[in-house]
Amino acid sequence: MAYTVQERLSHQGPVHAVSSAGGLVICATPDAIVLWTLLPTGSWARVATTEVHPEQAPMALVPVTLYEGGYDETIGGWIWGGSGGTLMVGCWDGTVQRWSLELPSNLPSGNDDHSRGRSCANASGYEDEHCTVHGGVRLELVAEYRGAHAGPVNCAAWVQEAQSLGDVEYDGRRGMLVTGGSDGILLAWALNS
Amino acid sequence: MLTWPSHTLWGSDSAGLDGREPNCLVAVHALAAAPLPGGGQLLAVCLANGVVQVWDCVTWSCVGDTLLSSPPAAPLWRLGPLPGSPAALFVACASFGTVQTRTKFDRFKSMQTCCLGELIAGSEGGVGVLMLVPPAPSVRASALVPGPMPWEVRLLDSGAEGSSDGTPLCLAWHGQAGNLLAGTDHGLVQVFAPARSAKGPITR
Repeated sequence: MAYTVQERLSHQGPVHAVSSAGGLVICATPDAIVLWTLLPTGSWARVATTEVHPEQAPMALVPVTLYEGGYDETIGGWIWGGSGGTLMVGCWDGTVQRWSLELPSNLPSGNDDHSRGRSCANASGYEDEHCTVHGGVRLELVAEYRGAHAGPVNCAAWVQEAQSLGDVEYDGRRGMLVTGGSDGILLAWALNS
Repeated sequence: MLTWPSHTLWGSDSAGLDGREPNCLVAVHALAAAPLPGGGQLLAVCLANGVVQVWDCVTWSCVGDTLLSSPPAAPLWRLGPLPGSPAALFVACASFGTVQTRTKFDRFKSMQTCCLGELIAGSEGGVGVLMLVPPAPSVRASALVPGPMPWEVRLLDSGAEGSSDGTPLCLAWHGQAGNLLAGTDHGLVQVFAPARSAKGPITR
């Protein structure tokens, strides 16, 4: 199958990782985690930007939880369930982080914002070192494991577990996180319910 | 919650991903997991030297904090090295199937096969699509048995469009609209849509 470029979403600095969950597209740049969504109008909107320390530049992203809601063909857009999820992040310094992502019941719509540094429409949020709230989108660092890899965590993947293997769930999903580093090591992260 | 510490699948106490000694480990550039309709998962691993390995994940899944079994000693398939040492990898299609072969006793024997349909790799010059196809109908893949990659690799589309946007560093699938996403070193996320008219295949 051939593919053609339909749209370009601009960031400052290289895009180290991109991932998608529910109606969100999540991007990692050297100093930020950026969340995008596709609007019913067909344009893309940046809904949140969380700045991170460059030494812990996110290199790999894995959204663990599928967000509630669903795509409504009648309106051509995503209906949000007002839920959230967990985002696993592999960093430049070898750290593996767990972020909590909370979504409002209604994400902003109709505001096509491609500029960096601006958040979603009607953003009346606040930021601290490890927590950002924009327009009801809350992204918070809740746990980290430093030194997981001896070098940058280049990549990560979610391996869904065969249902016959057990009843353990992680935020509703069975499976395990696998991270790959520049140290040539693959790590499998065990999860507890 | 995550349970710390994690399990090392391949590391200093085991053979390197490329099969060499531990002190010759090659950096892992990209990972891609693909669910299989028949159950289980495949994990494609792309190394810095361009070699892609496809592993069977079922045998080393985790339950709680217990690794059910040791990872397999060898991948199902080895592929490459791919041109340009891809930094991004994405499995677009994978499927299970069943083939029947006739034995010398004129009996039919069913064998489970496993087919990676599309493996998309991003490397310098753009996004390329690698179609993994059996070399001939009479040659079947002995799936789930470690061995040489039994598939022919064809570069179907060089992805030349958008290549000036930079080198793809990551790939993902956006299911809402059926788009392939590629993040580049120029700070762009390219949103790809399937082309209506595919170019002719480029045989590598």
